[in-house]
Amino acid sequence: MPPSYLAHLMEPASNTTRSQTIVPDALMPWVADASARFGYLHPGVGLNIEGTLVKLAGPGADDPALLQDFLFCLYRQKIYSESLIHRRMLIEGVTGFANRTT
Amino acid sequence: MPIVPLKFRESDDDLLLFADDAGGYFKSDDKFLHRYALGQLEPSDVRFLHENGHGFEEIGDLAYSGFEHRFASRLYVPHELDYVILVPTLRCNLACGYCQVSRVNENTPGFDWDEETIEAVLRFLGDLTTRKIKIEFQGGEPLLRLDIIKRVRDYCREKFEESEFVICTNLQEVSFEAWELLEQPDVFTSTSLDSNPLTHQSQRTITAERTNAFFRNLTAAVARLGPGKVSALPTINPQNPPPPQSVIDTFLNFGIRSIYLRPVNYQGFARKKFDAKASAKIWNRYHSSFIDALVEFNWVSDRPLEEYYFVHCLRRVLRAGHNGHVDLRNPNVVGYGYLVVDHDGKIYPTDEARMVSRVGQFDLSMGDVHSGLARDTVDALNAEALNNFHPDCVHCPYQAFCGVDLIDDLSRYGRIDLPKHLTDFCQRHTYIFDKIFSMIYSDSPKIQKSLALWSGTPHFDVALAKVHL
Repeated sequence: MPPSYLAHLMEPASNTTRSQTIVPDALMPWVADASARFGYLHPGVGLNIEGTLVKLAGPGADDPALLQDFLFCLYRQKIYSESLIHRRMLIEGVTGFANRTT
Repeated sequence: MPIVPLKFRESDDDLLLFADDAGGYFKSDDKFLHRYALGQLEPSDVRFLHENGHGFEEIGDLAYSGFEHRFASRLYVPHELDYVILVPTLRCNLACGYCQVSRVNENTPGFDWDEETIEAVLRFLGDLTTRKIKIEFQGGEPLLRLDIIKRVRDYCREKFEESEFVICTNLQEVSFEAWELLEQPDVFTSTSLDSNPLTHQSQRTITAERTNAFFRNLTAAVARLGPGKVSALPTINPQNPPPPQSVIDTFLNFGIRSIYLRPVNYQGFARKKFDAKASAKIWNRYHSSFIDALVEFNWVSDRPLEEYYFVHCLRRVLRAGHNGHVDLRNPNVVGYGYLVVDHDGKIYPTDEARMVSRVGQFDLSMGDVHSGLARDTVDALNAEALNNFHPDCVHCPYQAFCGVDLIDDLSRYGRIDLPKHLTDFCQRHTYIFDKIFSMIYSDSPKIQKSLALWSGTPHFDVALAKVHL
């Protein structure tokens, strides 16, 4: 099930199902990256973004696990981008690949 | 306090598994994830992360240096070339339906090393700087060229301080001279045993007469050489696998307690006959049932059994430095620590690369024994051999335990840039690590007993299953 802090609405299942969720403000800067990755992982699911509202549409789009996965994409992109500098320093420190952070 | 990057994945108990780039891991819930991702950690979170090596105060402090050391220990560093696979002949006296190594019929001329190639191979070995060497003879059936094996063996014994030889033979026809060779203390025997006589016959030997000959020779090999000098590997057709218990019973009959289950390899001529390209799902299901059967067996037996690759992956989770399997390393740099010399003197970085080249997909050869090594192609491949910055692996908590197998990707898909989760390699290893972590976090005494046996500890340590809530 999606975490309780996610607001989401489900529509009755049909050929094309829909669901939507509100993205917390703190995660908004990563919506574009997360959407790209989500689309790559779930190419059959349509994604529409209106402000902080993210709408999913397509077969199986009402599966709560999909909303959770979109949220996870947001978290992962935020963690990745904010920790990239540490990760680069780490790899430089142990391998001597000096150009990774330049 | 800065926190090292944590990657996470759902697990089967409604918790999330978190892991860092050095292989440190724990479980927590989505509330912790939210606090971590949004920079709202509570003091208890910070304390837990610091005590378990996931945080530091500043670059270069003790906690950071410790993490850096653990991270470095997870990386594979190629050593000097000391392991050479030799293919003195491609001829074989069997015609297995899924032959992985592209064999030719026993009487086909032109697929053995000629005198010039033999001398070039010996010169190549003579130029190596290592003091210890491991030579693996493959084929075809290498025992068809016992004379070449003996020449190489004699040369290596003279040249190197320590030599070890592995003969990968089908044990179909073993002459008196071949037994003499196999009985040498520095010679080891590796063969294929496809789970039970019925399966072995249908997949390999075809006739009852040949099947009986193989099992007579395997019985003799275990008796004459000892089970410690004989390894036997089953090749399983995932579409029609034998019951796990029948595999276990067969290997127990020969006193072989480490079983390396291998699915039919989608390389060489195997691709023509088996639908092995997209069988990860059914293979994983079978493999999981096999592990469960081993757990049940070990619970009541005082002499445990293991599945070799599963145990290898388990040990990669529990500690760094387990880089002994060439298919699971990070970075998986090929063409340096070991290589393959084919029947025509061409050199390949791996046995799989030899097959990819032989079926005409890509030329992954790296020179030959006559003109020397040419690593340009392989080095281009090696530039992609690291999983740390891969756009998929960088989000995966199993990244530090996992690796890269670019030649497998090339063989299956003709490219190395397919989304990881769509590759056989990723699907199989994600399953294996899922299984390992479900067992590590299990409270079943049966599972804990097998985990202890397989990880080489007297008892399972529950501290291996950290949870932070």
